[in-house]
Amino acid sequence: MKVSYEWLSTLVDLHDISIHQVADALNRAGIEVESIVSLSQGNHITTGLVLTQERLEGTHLSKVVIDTGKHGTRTIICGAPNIKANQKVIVALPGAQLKDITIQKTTIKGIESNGMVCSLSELGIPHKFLTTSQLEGIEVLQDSFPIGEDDVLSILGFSDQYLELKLLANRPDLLAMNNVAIEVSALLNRPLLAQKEVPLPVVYSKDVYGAAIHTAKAAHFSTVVIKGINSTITPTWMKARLMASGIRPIHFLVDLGNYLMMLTGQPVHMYDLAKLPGSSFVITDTYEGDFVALDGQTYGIKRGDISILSDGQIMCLAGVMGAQACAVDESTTSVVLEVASFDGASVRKVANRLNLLSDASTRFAKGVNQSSFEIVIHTLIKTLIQLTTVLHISNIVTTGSVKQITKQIPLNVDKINAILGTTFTDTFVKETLTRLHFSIKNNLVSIPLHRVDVSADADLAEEVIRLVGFDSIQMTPLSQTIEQAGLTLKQENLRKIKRYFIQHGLTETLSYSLISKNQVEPFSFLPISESYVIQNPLTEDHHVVRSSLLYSTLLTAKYNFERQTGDGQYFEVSQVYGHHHNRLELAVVLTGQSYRQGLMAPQPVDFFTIKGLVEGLLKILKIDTTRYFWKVEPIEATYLHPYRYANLFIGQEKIGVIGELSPQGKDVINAGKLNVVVLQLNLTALLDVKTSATKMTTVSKFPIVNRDLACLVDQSVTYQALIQSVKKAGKPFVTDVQVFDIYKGTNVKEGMMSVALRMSLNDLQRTLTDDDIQKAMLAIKNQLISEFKAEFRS
Amino acid sequence: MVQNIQHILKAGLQAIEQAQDLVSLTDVRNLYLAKKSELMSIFSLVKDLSIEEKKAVGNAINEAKQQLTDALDKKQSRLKNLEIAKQLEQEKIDITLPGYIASIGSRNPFFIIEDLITDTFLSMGYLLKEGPEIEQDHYNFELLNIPKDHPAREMQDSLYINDNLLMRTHTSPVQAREMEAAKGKPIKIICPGKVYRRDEDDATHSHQFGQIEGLVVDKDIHLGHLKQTLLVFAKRLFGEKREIRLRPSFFPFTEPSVEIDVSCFECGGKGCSLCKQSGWIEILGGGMVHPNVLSMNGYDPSTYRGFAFGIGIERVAMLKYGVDDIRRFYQNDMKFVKQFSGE
Repeated sequence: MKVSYEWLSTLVDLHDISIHQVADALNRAGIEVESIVSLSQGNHITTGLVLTQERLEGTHLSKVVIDTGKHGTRTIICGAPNIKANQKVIVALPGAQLKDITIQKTTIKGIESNGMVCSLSELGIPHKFLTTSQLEGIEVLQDSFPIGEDDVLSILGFSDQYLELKLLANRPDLLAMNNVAIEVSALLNRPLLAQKEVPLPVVYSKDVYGAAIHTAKAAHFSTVVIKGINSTITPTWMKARLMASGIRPIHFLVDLGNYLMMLTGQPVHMYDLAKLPGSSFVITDTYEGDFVALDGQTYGIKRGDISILSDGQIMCLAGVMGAQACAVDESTTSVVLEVASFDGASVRKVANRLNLLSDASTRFAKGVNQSSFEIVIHTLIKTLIQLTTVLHISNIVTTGSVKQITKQIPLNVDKINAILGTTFTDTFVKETLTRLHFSIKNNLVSIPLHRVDVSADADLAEEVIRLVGFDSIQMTPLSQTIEQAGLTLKQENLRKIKRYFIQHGLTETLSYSLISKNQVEPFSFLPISESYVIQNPLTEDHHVVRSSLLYSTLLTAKYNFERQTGDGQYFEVSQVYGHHHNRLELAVVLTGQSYRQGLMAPQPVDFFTIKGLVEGLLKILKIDTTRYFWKVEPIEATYLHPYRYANLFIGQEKIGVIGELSPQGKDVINAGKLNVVVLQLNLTALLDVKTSATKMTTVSKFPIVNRDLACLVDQSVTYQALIQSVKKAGKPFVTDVQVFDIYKGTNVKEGMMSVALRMSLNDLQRTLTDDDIQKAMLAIKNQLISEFKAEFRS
Repeated sequence: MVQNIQHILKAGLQAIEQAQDLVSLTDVRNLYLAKKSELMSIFSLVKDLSIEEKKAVGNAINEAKQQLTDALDKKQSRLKNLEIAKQLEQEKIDITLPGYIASIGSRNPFFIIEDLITDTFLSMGYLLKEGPEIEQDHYNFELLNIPKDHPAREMQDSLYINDNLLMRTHTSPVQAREMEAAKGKPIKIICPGKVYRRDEDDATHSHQFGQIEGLVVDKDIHLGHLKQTLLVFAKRLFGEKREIRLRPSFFPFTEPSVEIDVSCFECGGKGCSLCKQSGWIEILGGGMVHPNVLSMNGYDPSTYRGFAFGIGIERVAMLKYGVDDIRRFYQNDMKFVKQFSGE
């Protein structure tokens, strides 16, 4: 909403209040002033009469001599194509500051130029208000214009400033100057100014134009027929106010309609009576077909759009735009004036669909004050007869009904104070509300009809505090109101998981949940269901809700490959969704090389890097090694290395997959020769796993004995099987077993491998004797021989 | 004999004095204190002396032995220190060489700010609650006083899956869900999460962004509580010297509604380019829970009131860290993310 300061000053007493003070008051009251704009920019200018004009040969320039009255007769070199002798023109004197330039005395082609003849564009008038000829040449003033008139911009109506308001959705009433005036008067505590009253003319025509409403989307429709309008030009003051409101003056009748809309917030529409084919209107939402609007464009009207028909032909797309066929113009003398209320949502949808957003459609969309239609019509007629003469004015014909119920709220000052945490008195609250034209009688607050946003105590509280200011609210600490607070165990564990990865050098990343249709599915190694698809995506890139996370994290790695970061350690946690699954997933991607504890040189990441990372994670989550296992189970994914992946099982449930990417997998993210290892983990399932309680076990005070053992076994024997076997056979003394070397190749039989084991033996009660140790070692050897056909070096 | 002892002592002390290294010092020790040394061998002669002489000679030997031992120990420790010092000198390094690389993880600043804000409220006794990102119309709009045909429900603003399901446009539906679940009991929750709008991505807009919603419902809650809560928040996030300012605003689910500005942490309120010369930076929106929202969610608005507020995660991160483009949060360029190590 653009609010003309000049216009506002005729509605509220602002005689000693600047536009900046008005802006401050509005801002404080939650009505944001985005900017204060001057309609024109130019100082040190005057008017003059062109005495002589001669073209400088070989140029487009003219040498003109101009009489500028008190500023003397001066020679100016001018480049405008339309300058001629005997024109009255606007002259910028040396030193003048215009929109983009500063004027200085200068010499062109050896001639001294003492100023500049101006176009309106050079004076900063927005181009939308200028005709093509005004844009291309200097402004030619009327012959009657005085010369040496420094106040030329003001006389032309261009000296106004306006406030650009950014209105909140609950204040559509402020799309009317009348209501802005009430607001400003309340905020600054200044009186509204009385408006000049003219009596309504006696109605002397029964020649009405009726209407029938055939749709629920039009609540009411009023018409007045005005005949014999003596066509005139729009007065400068009205043009100026329209321009300061952002509306381009067109011609008298259209300008009058727009002026009334700006003043009252109610859009009005005028039909040229002579061009209407029928004798009454039908308002319907069943019309279908093409519609040539007054902008000359053809639009497709659909069922559901509100149309105004005359004799079956569409005359107006309600609330949006009239038809070219019955548009008023300079020659129009008789009109049907329409003031109606249409369903806001319908108008908004149509205007959006046809891209025909206008001041009128915006007002309908946001809701106009239906009750004011009679006032609007009367104001329009009064304004009209002050500007020109008319022959006939008909009765107002209204179809449909208008809700005109004044809302009343019992005034409960205690409640208002309770909401705000204040101690305002009854008198103070009443005075404050009265400033906004709320009337209070017998403790009942009557809400002005335009204030659709006010309907309860809370709204009254807001009105009071808006006017008083929030500084009057005392800060009060909140006393504890709930029984327990802080994080739940699961939330705590999720944070623990994230901290673990960060401490191990991984970086937490963030990616979009909406992905392209042909992403991701092959990159889920956990079961997924059909994805949710966005019905109205803005781009194909964000069309589907991701049903698993790993691919997004791989794309993060790819993004960094492309920016020379080959070694990357990424993890991300995100909720993923499908029609039949919904879980929190964790994705880890390690690429290139990593530094490992105890090693100076970086090592390529591999299966064991990620395996160790997961095992460490399970350890800090206190999920004992006996509670989970790794299992190689055929997986339908060519993107994983077929011999370097494993599924993580807890009980019967597969909750994660780790592995190295296969060459095909690496190709998808252009990893080249870099190693890439991944983890996809179902965190919802992991966080549901009961953790093992930490209980101290007694530490033996007797010395630990270490014994090494090397044996040859078949290459198919797994580490896990060996360890289990040794632990079992070495009971009760073996407390720990480590494999510290595995060797295949020279000096080892084909198909076999040499494994070096280190056993730790210990007892809680006593120091072990040589005999104890030898017996245990023998038991272990025998077990390995019987279970794995192990061979020992003599 | 005593004289002889003193003579040996003198020679011994001199030898100790002259020893240049630990090896020669050990030789001196053996020469003077070993069982077969000259001094010790005098003991064997003592048995032939009178009692008084025995006593005198014995004392003299012990005295000499003690003095020699002390001198030897002292010298030995001095020589040892000298030797260590010499060895350490050879281990001298250039301390300006770089340290061994410790692997340092970091977090996308989105999460840093998300946790920072969440933790601020957890420390004030809030519970952390989350809700689904694919949300029902009922929770996303209806229960929040945004009825059908409200402009905020236009198709062009939200990403729909079907007529009833959409990507939640704010974290406020968590409010509605929690109020429904609390069945009239007091509530004090903080709800972070991802939200979605049908917006073209550019430097300041993103179709996905993070929001944190707070909600307190109880008897006797008023705007003064909200003001105090948000002041604590502003100070925690932007520094102890911050002040806040409330301006009236409008949200369908709060009444009165406010925008909250924090005094500029760049210029302290004097006016700079960050605060566009105003001294204040708009940081969040909030207000008193709308009576309609309370009653729709099972609270009697005549006894219960509440306040709610919402904060944009990226917006705070952009302000706090001077991030120039919201898309950076979703690109995860390590050269960007690693700048926040340790935050």
